[in-house]
Amino acid sequence: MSATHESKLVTFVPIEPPPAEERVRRPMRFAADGEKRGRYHLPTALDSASPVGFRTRVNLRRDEADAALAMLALPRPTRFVAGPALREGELFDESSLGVLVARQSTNFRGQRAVVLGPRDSITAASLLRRIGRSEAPVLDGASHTHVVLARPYATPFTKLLTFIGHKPLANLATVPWRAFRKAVYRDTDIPTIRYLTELHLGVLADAMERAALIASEGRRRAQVFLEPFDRPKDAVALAELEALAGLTAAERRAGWRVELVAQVGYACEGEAMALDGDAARRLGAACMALRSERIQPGVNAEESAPEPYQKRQAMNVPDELTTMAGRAAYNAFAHFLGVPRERAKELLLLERVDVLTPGGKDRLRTVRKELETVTDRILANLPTWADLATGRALSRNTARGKKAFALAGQRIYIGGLSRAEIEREGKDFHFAVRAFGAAAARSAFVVEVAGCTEVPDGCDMLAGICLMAGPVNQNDIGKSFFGMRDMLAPAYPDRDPTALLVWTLKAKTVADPIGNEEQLLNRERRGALVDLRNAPHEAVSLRVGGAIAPMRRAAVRVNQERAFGDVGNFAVSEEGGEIPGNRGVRWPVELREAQPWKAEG
Amino acid sequence: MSNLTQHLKLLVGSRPGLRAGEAIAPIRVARELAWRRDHVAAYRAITGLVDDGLLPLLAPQVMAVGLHLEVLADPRFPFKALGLVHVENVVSVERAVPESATLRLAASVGNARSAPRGTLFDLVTEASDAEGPVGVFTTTVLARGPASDSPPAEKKPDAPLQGALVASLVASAPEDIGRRYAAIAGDLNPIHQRALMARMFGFPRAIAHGMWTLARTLAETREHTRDVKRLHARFRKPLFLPGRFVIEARRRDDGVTLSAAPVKGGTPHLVVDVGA
Repeated sequence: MSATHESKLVTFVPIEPPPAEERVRRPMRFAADGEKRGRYHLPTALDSASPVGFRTRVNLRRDEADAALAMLALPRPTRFVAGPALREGELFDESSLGVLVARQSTNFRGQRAVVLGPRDSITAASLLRRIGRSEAPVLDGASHTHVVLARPYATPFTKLLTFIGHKPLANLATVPWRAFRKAVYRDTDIPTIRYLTELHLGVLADAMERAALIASEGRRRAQVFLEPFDRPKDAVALAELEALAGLTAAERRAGWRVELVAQVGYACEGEAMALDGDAARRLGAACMALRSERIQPGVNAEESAPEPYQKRQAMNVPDELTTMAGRAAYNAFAHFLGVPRERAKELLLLERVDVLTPGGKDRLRTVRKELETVTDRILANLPTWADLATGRALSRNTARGKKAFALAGQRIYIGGLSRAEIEREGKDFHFAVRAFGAAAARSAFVVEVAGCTEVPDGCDMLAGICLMAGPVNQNDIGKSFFGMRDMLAPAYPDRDPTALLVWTLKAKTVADPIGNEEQLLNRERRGALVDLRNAPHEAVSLRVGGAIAPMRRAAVRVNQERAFGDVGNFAVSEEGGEIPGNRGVRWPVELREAQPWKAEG
Repeated sequence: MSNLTQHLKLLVGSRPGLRAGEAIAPIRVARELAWRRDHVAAYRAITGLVDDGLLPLLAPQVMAVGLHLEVLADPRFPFKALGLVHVENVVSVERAVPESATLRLAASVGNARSAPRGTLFDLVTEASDAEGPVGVFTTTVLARGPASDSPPAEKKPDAPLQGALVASLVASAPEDIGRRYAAIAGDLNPIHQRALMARMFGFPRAIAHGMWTLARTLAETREHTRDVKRLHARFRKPLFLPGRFVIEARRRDDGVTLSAAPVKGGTPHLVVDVGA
């Protein structure tokens, strides 16, 4: 890789804790007998085969934070070398940090992986070469290969979009027509919905690189191919890769496609990372605990929220930290898209809109007003017949959606790309959107690591971040149906921008209520968010001896292990009471230590 | 004689019960038995046990179900078999044996004593092979009947289980698990079969076999119970089917306490003290 692509080192930036009297943490208690349980109480139980669980942030040491951040500037691996056969437990850890933990803006089970052993990885490498990969060389000698399948984003929100942007009376015909096109041709109502799938793939790509390192204590590296597979040089080779991953015709009809491939193998000398076992376990556990943080205390907490959420705290996200987050974003964008780093800085469009920016308060007010105008216009234009038929569910949910784009944070950035500029660069726009997702995830990780390093007593954390697509989608509705401008247009008036995500960075010591996590983990509470914490058997399959079987499902038994649970960062009540089912139990050692592809030699 | 025939024999005839201080007539039956590999595999599959090539810990007692039925069907046995309640199990094994081992199993009954809600007695299974004793499995059973002379024990709230929590998970007991387990274990007690049949015996729904719940608990907590030689299981409350339950393991200084409890809390279905 040429020097112009080289990543810049991302260094740790400490966050000043607030004065001792302002240090608060999340209230952790079970509802008392007869008390109505809410999102601020601990869940009564966890019934989930996901490796995640209700976790608390791991208080990282400085050297551990340095190790985590060092992963964000590594060049791609150049070759793999021979190493010990992979154990099932290592693959579980790696998958848990990858496809099984979709924590940022990923409220949809849209990804799954088929893992190939060393022999099938040889075939996969050959197929990748025939398909043609422009972003990085295909490597030989992979210990295993993750073939990630993805499908288009589709949630109750996307269903709701079907009813938006129609003319009165004509909507009797145009709503069914659009619904038909969505079902048959996989049309999206607004472009940013399609981009969500791409962004999520980028988030995953970035996570997979770290996953390989952490699960192997720095010995294995991942070569991730993120460029879309929709224009292969050799269509037959792509079909063969799909067959290798067991993609069926029914799955293809449902929209599943091979969208990302990650070769993983033992790093050669100079490309491995020094990471001791204990640090690797703690970093893994730390990653399992990272969550979107939506609440800025004293700014956007509900009135009913407990006291720790109601008071502003005298602390800020340091400018140096946003600089490092930006550095990580440029690293990732250049790394995955395969463009020079300086060019990446030009292509990534970022506008800071927070109250600390000169004129930021007014700008933020304008953004909020524009988004609310979109909501009002949606409500005014909803087909009455459909709204009445659904018991006003459409209008209720639209109004409720305002919460999804409430911008609260000390540092707020709107990010996007210019399609024309990307295409002039000779890159596919969807590929760039994927790389943008990776950039967003990597920058978020910088803030999250800083936010859980050297955390003083009495605090959950020091900073958090929320990557939001909601405001962008809302803006996109305005653009698509009501002739409004892009959110980034005022900042980049001559570059025809497309906003893709909003970052809200928050310095605070109290983590969001555990009820937010429960929405992701508790199947009984599917609703505003979807139960997205996949179990291994739901999202990962292993191809062994030509047969594809789900990971960790054996008769009545499925996974109950919480990845990196040995670190012990489980949410408990202030009295030390545990959430039943939360701690899980390790997968039997005979199976964990087994080598899945031993028989293949 | 098939287990079905034995079950039918349990349904007929009246039983006199035991007078205070009276002992159960000594009844003992013995036989050599072995499970086929596919039978062991089926048992492992339904309980979630790992294939380690060894006969599962509780298997000798399950293998002896036919012998137990013979004991209960013996005319000298004083209680009606239907309605007996499995309350405790003590397992003490000398050594593990290969899954294909042929065991000499002997079942006997005795140690009748008064209890607040009737009479307790032990059904003892001794297992041995050519190399000597393998283990002893003591099942304590309650024959419901007139209360003993002693005043009924005051119902105390359950004390929290002691020890550091080292495992906690939610497991499920499907509606058909009683029928599937019965097909493997040979225990065709109607209370485990279908809700309709269980209602005839006063249960609102079918209940899981205690030995299935115990095996399932051991399977999930294998990390902490791998080399167990001795355990004492107390069956506290029925697990209705279908149902979900929380399996937990707590490490004590001298062993591990396991429990299987309702997800919403309250009296556990099962508490197991596992000795070192």
